[in-house]
Amino acid sequence: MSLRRISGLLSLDLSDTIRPPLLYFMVFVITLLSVVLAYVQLFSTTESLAMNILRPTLLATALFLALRGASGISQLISNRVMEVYLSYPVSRLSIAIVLYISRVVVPSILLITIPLLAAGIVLGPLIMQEPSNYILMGVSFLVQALFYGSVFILIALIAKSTGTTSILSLLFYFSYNIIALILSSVSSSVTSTMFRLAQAMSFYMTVYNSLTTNIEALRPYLWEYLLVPLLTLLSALAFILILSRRFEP
Amino acid sequence: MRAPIILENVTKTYGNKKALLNVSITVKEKKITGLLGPNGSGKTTMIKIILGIIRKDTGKVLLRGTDPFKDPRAREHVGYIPERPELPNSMPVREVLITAARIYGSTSPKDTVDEAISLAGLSGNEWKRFKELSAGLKQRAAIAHALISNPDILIADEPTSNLDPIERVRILDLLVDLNRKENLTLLFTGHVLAEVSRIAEDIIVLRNGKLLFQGSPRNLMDIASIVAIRANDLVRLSKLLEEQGFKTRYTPFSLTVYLSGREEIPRLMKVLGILAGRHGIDIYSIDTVEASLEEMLRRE
Repeated sequence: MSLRRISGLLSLDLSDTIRPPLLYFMVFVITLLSVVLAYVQLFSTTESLAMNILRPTLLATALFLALRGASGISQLISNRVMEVYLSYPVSRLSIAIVLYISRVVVPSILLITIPLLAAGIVLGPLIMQEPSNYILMGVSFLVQALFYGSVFILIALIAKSTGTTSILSLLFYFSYNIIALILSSVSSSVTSTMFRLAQAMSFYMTVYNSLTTNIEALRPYLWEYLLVPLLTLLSALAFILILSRRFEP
Repeated sequence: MRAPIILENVTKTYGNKKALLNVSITVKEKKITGLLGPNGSGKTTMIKIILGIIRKDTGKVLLRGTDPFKDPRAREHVGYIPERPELPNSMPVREVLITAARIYGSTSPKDTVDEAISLAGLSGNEWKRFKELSAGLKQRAAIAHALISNPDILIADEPTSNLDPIERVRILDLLVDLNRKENLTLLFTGHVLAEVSRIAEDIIVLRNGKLLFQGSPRNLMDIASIVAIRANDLVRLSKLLEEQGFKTRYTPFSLTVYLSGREEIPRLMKVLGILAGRHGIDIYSIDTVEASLEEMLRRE
């Protein structure tokens, strides 16, 4: 399959995903907030800087992925542009990968990376102490965003309706985070499996704990590192497989 | 030479509903083929299966010699005009077309698009976004989009729906022009027999997912013979003809008799003569009429 064809389809779909003003407005607002936060708050480590900046950014990214990314796929189905895509001489596998990149990967990278870079510029001397940790934290938030996005577009493919996709995606996001909160609240100690599971449900917490903890008993287990990336991989694969093998608009 | 579109015993079900049932058709190269049928007859399902947009349950589908669901190369030179045309609104139509031309592998997308815009009669409106276009111009944009594939085959699903009568004629004439000038194989769907038979050289009729007919418009008219009778007691005549095995429909002014072919007309005349004499019915006139699709399907 010609790369030229796939890149053509990607640019066609991206033009819808990143059409103004929503994405630009969100990037502007969260970047501004990140820069302000970097100025007004005192941070002693790069990990805490990344954590404080990227937590609200992750919420904004999840909202964008639900309301524009996944809902955009439902809209493609309901307004029949998906039929136009499927009538192109491009394999369904390529279309699925293009949609995943356009609706999940690109917006996640833009929304996570730009505020991270802006805050990094403001607090350059602090970042330069441990730049790899700063990057690792960014990547961990990106993986978490990809996880949400993968689940949301899977919902979109099944729901096929813009409104239902938005509602179910947001319901999933908040339920997931409430469950993590409940698990961590009811767990007996910070070393209990329940607490570890609650932490592992947020990949960035696992990475943060790994980078900041010197106590061996508190260090994450291997499964904690694997939980969210595996769920992301499974959701993304499910989306690609359903679209390329079973999906009918 | 192999036919560009072949369906053999194709079946498609949605849940319990059979959308297509053992349908076999062949679309002839460089001809205009009209696909007729009422709503829900399976026309759009057939079009989508031909393009590989949806899967068939059983049977064989060949588009340019290959299965379009499995091999996307089957769609390389196939233009598609959907039932309700839609293109992305994020860019002006011209930009969408240029991007689509790249997807179709055009080496000079701008030239391809200029030619398609000119052929489709969209010139002057190509910088608007799709949603800003009128219904007729949207249809033309969809035609331009279908043409950028440099098609051998053009598949149009209800290309005249939602258009006013003047625009309907213009769009159909444009499709005929494309068939003649560009040597395209054209497969299009429609509801109105008169409209489809005006341009189609071959007609396929579907009803409830089953193939009723494939052949020339002339043959279709022959098998769809309808006779209108005016008489003094239409209700009684209707009842008597039904008893003789004729299918009739009573209206206040005439009685419509549906025949399975023109060869049935002599038998009808003979039966009418006997009934008129035996039951004292005065027959004022007997006329053969051109069947509409609805009348033809009612006969089935």
